[in-house]
Amino acid sequence: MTAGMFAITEAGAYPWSWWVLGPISVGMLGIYQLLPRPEGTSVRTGGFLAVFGLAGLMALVLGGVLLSVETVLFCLFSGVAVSGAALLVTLANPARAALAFTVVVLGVAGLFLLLAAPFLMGANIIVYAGAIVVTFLFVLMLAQQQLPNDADSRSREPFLACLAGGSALLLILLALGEDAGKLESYQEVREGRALEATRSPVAPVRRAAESDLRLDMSGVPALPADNTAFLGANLYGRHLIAVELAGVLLVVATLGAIAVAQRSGTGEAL
Amino acid sequence: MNSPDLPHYLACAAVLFVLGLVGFLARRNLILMFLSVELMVQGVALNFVAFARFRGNLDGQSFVLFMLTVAACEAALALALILALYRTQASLDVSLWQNLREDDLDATEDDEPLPGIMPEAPLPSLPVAGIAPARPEESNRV
Repeated sequence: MTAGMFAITEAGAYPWSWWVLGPISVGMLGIYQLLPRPEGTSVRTGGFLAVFGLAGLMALVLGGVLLSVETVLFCLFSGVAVSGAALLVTLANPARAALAFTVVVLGVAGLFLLLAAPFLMGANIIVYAGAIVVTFLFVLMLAQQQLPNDADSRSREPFLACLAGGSALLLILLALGEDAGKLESYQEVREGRALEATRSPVAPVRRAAESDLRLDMSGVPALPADNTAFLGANLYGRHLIAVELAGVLLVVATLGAIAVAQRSGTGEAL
Repeated sequence: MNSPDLPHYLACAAVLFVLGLVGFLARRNLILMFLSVELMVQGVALNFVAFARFRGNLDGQSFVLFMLTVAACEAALALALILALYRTQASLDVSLWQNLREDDLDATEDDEPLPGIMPEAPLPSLPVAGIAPARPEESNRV
């Protein structure tokens, strides 16, 4: 409790308030500098500002958290994800931006793992990094344009976009910082009242869950380690119709994509 | 607190969402705008999983699976539409479609020239040089 003493003065109060305005504006200024424009971007200034803003925001947000393995992993994965996102937004070459999106997906997958969702981590990597980004790269190959061109080397109102993004982030973080301490949900979880992870529709799984339920060091009940089995029971128990509808949606989207991508007139598929 | 709590994950998700917002507003490449939307979807998925973890409830994770499904459908359809648009204009620039804008909005005009693209120089006129080629004699001289 020594390092985080100033942060946890009241129960559940989080340290950030209007202070986040500083790193947000510095980071958005960096993004503004880095956005592509015809007269050329100042990569050094913009990159420095963006990294500085990200580091400041992390320091502010994580101010009250003690150093532990989970904290270090959180910093690592969220830093990778946010840096990849900044690269995706600012890189002029769209193929490189698609690869930066893969970096974001990998970072978010790491955060999923920290949040006890190993199945979603795998699904996220397979679907996004494996399928969607490859499709993007394929379309980029079909619609290749040489740099510089109007689409990639110009930005539409970069200053207003960064202003809008910065204000949105400021408002979200302020609301989070104010209301986070009042949220009762995970206070309840701490006290072990909302153990809905065990509320599985399949009886044997429920019994296994109740016996396997563990509390981590801060008293939060860990989700059961066999997350995939529980997720499957949840999906096919409570959301069975939605799963079927998702299958129908996939088929319809495939047919629609083929119909749209077909060249009109000749009837010849792409 | 010896590990990141729910608000820390929500803050990370908010940063991802906002960066996607900035990319969607500022970039002009259709594919990059769509990638920015996918970035926002990643932020929202992170929110769902964080709530699932800290409420001890697996419904959030189930919802993320459905989001993955919808994102895959969306990617297929959007890329098909982007290809159809690319075929008509031979460019991914979204400003080429600005005649779809509202009546009271001004058109976007690109004033600054792109670097490296010079205006076309006139073809050089070659000076007269070298030995004149042999020409057939004309039959009648003046």
